Amino acid sequence: MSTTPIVQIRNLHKRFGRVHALNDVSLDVEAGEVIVIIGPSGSGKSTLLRCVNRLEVPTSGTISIDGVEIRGDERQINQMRAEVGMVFQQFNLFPHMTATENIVLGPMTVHKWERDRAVTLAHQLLDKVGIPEKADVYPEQLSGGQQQRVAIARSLAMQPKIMLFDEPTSALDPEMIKEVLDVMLDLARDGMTMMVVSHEMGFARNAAKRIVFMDQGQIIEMTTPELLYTAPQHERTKRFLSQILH
Amino acid sequence: MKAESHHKPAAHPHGWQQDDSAIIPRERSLMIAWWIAIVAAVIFIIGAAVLKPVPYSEIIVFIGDGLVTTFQITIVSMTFALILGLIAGLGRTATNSFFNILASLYVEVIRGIPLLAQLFWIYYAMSRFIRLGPQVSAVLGLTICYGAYIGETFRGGIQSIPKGQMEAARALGLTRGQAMRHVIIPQAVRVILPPVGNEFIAMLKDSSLVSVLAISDMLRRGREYASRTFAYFETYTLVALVYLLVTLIFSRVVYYIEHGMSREDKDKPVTLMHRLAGVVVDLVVLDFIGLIVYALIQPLALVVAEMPVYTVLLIVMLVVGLIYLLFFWTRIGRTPGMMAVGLRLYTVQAEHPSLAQALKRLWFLILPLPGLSLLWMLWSPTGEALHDRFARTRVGRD
Repeated sequence: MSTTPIVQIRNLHKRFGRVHALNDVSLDVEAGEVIVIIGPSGSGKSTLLRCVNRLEVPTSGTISIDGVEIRGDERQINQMRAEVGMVFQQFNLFPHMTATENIVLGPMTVHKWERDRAVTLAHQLLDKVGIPEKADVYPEQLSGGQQQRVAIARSLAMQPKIMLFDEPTSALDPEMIKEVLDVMLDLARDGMTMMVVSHEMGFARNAAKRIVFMDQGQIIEMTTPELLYTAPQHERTKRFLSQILH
Repeated sequence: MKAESHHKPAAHPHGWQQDDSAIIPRERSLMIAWWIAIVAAVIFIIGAAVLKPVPYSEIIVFIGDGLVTTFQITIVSMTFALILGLIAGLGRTATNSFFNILASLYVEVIRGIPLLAQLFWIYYAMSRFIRLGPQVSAVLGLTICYGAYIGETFRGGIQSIPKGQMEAARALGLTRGQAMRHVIIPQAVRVILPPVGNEFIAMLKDSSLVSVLAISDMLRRGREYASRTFAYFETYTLVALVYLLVTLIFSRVVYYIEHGMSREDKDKPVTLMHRLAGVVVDLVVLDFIGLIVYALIQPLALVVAEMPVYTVLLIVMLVVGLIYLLFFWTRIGRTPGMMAVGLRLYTVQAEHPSLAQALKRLWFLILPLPGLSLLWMLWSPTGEALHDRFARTRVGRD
């Protein structure tokens, strides 16, 4: 039953100048697990996620993906990134490409797929995220929720083993949050390994096995969503939850 | 009827539509002004040449040679200025502080000196160390000056792309080079192209300054003609009008480039003006290519005696033009000119056309001919090569 964790973070430190963004963070993520990370702004939760696919280079500590420790080697990093999808708060779709073109770029340039094969996959993925009719539309003409769903499809096109979500619903209008969360819930049910920075309690309750509370670059508390929301152990967690729950 | 008119103001209570309509007439009045200017210029030039051929058509033939030189100087200088500008722009965005300071120093120094003073300095002051010909000095001066401005344009273009774009591309597993090629540069080009087009127009006008270096550009040819015939009014009027005509054409092209880039305009119908603008861009691109071809053919003429250089050039450029067109057409469905003004012949999802289909579709587009200046060079009322014409028509100080 218990295999080696798919993501293994050990004693991770990250400094930005004088700011200690991550202070000795260790975390294991099992394959197929959904883990939600919460915490006040500046607590290092986004930095942690960005260290996992090495958009930020850790100051010290190790990260292993699927049993392989990630070092500074460019080729290894690119290979790892192809297996670790990331969804950003600001979507970051490529504005000069249609939805389909956005999705096929990864498989075609990284995996050297034929265009036809990539386009077929793109259409399947757009179907999966519920906007098959938007295949030939430019990001500008899409709503925020639709853009984020295209961004999720773009990441899925690389057929990643792990998906990182960096506040995927924070830039969305309230009525669009659900459509994105539904897609993420579907993914979770399909058994995708997910690390999600999000304060969406409903999603955490429904999908996450564990929830992590971070503050000042450290993991303060790690438990099930139910326990964290109902019976937080630490003073800082309580204070934070009282603020976001009103 | 009454009820309808009653409803109208309520539909737009905040009057935002009025703001909207205020923008459109301004654009329309610019368009109308452009048409008036270009039609008036064309009518005046043609009318004068037909009705009073004695000075006017003579002047046109005389300064026509100068226009070729103006184009050539501009195209050559622009080529080098783009290269220099790219280096300067990359230097200005570099993290390495040595290159950054070096590039910044270049930009600061050059932008602080007038082009005319730079030209004088390169041609006269530098002759103490190295004697450069007028052509080389002119190209060098324009290149160095415009390299600085274009460098700033490039820097602005690259820096205008949000950081998240590079991150998203890298997160997919693309290498830095792939991300640059597929994500950053296509977006940066959209930002950069209109100002570079404007720099091109500015350079075309500023190239008149090289006439002080005894280069027979259009302005100097006009001066030569006027000093011989004392027809100052007629000559300089025509010189000004020809500059205006050329500038108007290019400014319209830049306008289409700017507007073709924005996505909303994609749905608007493609007009003949769009197509023509695309063709002009293709012609300029082919002009750049023609320049290289010309540089390759010339030494060949030294080896092969009696080679008809200009005929060979024309044939080569026609072939190059055809290949250029078909290459882009079959691969991405558009020529660079069409891309620049935002034209597409088929949607991305459609099948790429075969070579035969592309050939068939050529009917729909005017085949971009070899570069403008090369055509000019070949065109001659007497059938002489351009440099011979220069030799013959040079006016002495009598």
